[in-house]
Amino acid sequence: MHIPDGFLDLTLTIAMFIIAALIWIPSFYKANKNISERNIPLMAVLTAGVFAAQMLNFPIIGGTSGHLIGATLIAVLLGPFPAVVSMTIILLIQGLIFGDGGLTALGANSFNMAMIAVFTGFTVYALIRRYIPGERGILTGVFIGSWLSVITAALACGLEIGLSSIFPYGIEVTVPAMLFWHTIIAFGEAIISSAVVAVVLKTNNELIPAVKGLNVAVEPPIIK
Amino acid sequence: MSLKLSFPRWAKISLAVIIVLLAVFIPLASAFPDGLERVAETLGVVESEPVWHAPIPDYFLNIGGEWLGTLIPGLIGVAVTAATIICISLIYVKVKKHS
Repeated sequence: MHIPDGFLDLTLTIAMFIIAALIWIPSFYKANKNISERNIPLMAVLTAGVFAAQMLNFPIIGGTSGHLIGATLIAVLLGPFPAVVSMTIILLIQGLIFGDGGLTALGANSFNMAMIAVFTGFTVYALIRRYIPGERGILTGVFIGSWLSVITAALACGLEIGLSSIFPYGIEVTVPAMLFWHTIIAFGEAIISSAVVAVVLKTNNELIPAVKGLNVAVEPPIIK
Repeated sequence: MSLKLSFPRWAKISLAVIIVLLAVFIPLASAFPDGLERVAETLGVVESEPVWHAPIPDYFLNIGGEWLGTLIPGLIGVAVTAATIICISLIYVKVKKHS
């Protein structure tokens, strides 16, 4: 879902950078609470793992593929604000080194994948955990949260390219098209994310922090 | 103040698992366009020239064939990502200790 250069006009490019900055600033500030010496290895391994997973496209139907975004997965394990940091770094490295996602679209791509996906996924996960206790709540939350995180990110992406004056089609075409493919791709996201969380629960269930409001409990997880 | 950054065993194992999974799944990964590329393709929209020429475009280096040519960029990406996160997190921790 990485928007390349040349899809967004100047107005949208600037608007998306401004909107992204308005979310980057408080998120980078609030991530301070969650990042501690003890969870640096977790954050590094998780972010590197999501980078690797994003390289591996899985085929869906009709000659189309998809890949993990990983926003919900990181948010569940580290909290939504460090997830914004992690996802932004991934997008920056992908754009700078690998030409995946245009640098002029970094504002939009960050908004879609490092913000909308993170906050949708985490909010849904947090709400579900409130009503379904235990591991079942965690896994259901991750599954539905990550599924919806792709849908909302695809909706945002469809709106952006559809509203762009240099993209030849409007939102009435781009939004349904984006939603159609990503409804299917989102199942890949949901399956991979909940499989990873299931493995973590099996090996060390204290690694999944409790949810506190719209963040995870600040105490760093105990890693055995 | 000194920072003690140690990489516990589980972190090393996880990193090794990530690299093994990457190596195993590279030949299995789909070369089909992704959701957005597919939408653009169907609508006949072509990507313009990128404003920045990335050193390793499309995660591919022309060395030692398809598998190694993708694995090496993958390893570079994994290393750069992990290193960047460690640097940023260390800045966070240092700033926190000072305040």
